[in-house]
Amino acid sequence: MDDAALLSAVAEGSQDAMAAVFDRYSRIVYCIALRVLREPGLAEDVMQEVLLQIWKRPQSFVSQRGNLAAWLSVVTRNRAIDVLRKRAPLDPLDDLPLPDPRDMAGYSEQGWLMDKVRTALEALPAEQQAPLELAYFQGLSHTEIAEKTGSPLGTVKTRIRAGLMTIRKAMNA
Amino acid sequence: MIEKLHIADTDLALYATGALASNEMKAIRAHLQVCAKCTEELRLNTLALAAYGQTVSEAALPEGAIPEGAKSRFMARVAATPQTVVHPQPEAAPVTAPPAPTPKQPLSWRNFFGADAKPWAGALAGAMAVLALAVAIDDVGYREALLKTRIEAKRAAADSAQLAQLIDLLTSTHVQRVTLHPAPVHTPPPEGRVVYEARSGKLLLMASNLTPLPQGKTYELWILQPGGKSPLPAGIFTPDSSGNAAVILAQAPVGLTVQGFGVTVEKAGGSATPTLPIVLSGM
Repeated sequence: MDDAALLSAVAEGSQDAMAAVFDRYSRIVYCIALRVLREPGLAEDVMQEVLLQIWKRPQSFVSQRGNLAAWLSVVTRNRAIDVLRKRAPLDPLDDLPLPDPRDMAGYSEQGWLMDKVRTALEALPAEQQAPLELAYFQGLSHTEIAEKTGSPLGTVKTRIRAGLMTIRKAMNA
Repeated sequence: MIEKLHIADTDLALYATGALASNEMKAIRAHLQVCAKCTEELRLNTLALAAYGQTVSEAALPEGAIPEGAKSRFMARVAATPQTVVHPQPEAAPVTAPPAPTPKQPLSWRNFFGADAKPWAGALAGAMAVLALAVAIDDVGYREALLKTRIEAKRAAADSAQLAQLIDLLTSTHVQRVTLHPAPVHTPPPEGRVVYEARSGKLLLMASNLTPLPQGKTYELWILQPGGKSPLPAGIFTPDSSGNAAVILAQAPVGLTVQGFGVTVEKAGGSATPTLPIVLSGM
């Protein structure tokens, strides 16, 4: 059953379908939360909060949200960063546009794509990996990254942009 | 043309990661509301970041590392959590729909520029970008961009007295800029911005994430006065199907000392006094 059918079943109140969503995406969500928070209890809290939004408001995803895996990745990372920095959520969970509305299949079924990204990341120079990791997994601002790495602000910006472009290029290859 | 001014790629990349300062984030968020090109660029960046997050995170975690019992705990929460039932809403009229004939009627873009507004559509979108930037921007670099945009806007609409008035309002040093925040918490939270020049009585309102209203209801903007005076109605408006509204109130009260602004839901045609609750307010 693809994501669209699964979400339609969730929208009809099927707890079995919700369990299937958990089986399909809990690992992605938990991995990202744990990578940011480095504390299993907090990571599970974030995982449950994010996945529970799908159960609470499934209609929002059925018609509008598109790629569920990508949406979950974005939301999970943002929530985990909020927890890490002990700040109030910046955006409501269901107010985030999905990155890719053209594909309901989800990345979990596109291992080949992740393989390409993984290969690209392995080839990414360390000086580009570091600022991207500090921004994404630690939620640091470009100013904080510049201070931490000792690099000029403009260099930090261009390295993050270059890292992103490398990933984008790999995804489109 | 104004539409050619876009957010730098490096800034869009940092915006996707949330790594910019809050004022820069606000400025870009405002620009994204009116720029499809930058929105598409952001979408691709976000997609790449999602892939990055999944790839790096999964590589660091061994198979089966999810805490034992996590699924049963989650399913217990599912069983105890009611789903939100979404009822179909009537389609809201777009901002450009002919407004109801009432006093202090807000002007739609079409009305403001005359019946044949198409030639102004591009310049108008740019002018809205100017407004969004003017409200949100607090950064020297973006101030320069704003200046460049204003010059281009003037060039594009040299024979438009109305557009010139709009730009004058945006660049006036006498205007009040007020950010409106939701009174109660909504999901997603509505947001609005008002630019008001007391000297001329010109007033602009931009709002987003407004809940579509049933037939027979309308949003109404109120001018809040100091000293406990009664709020003055400034005009009614209807958001588009996405909950966004952008209206110009060319005949708002002149010369008022304004304490703030508020938005309420009223019966169609508007009310003489506001009806609680207040949807948006700002001082």
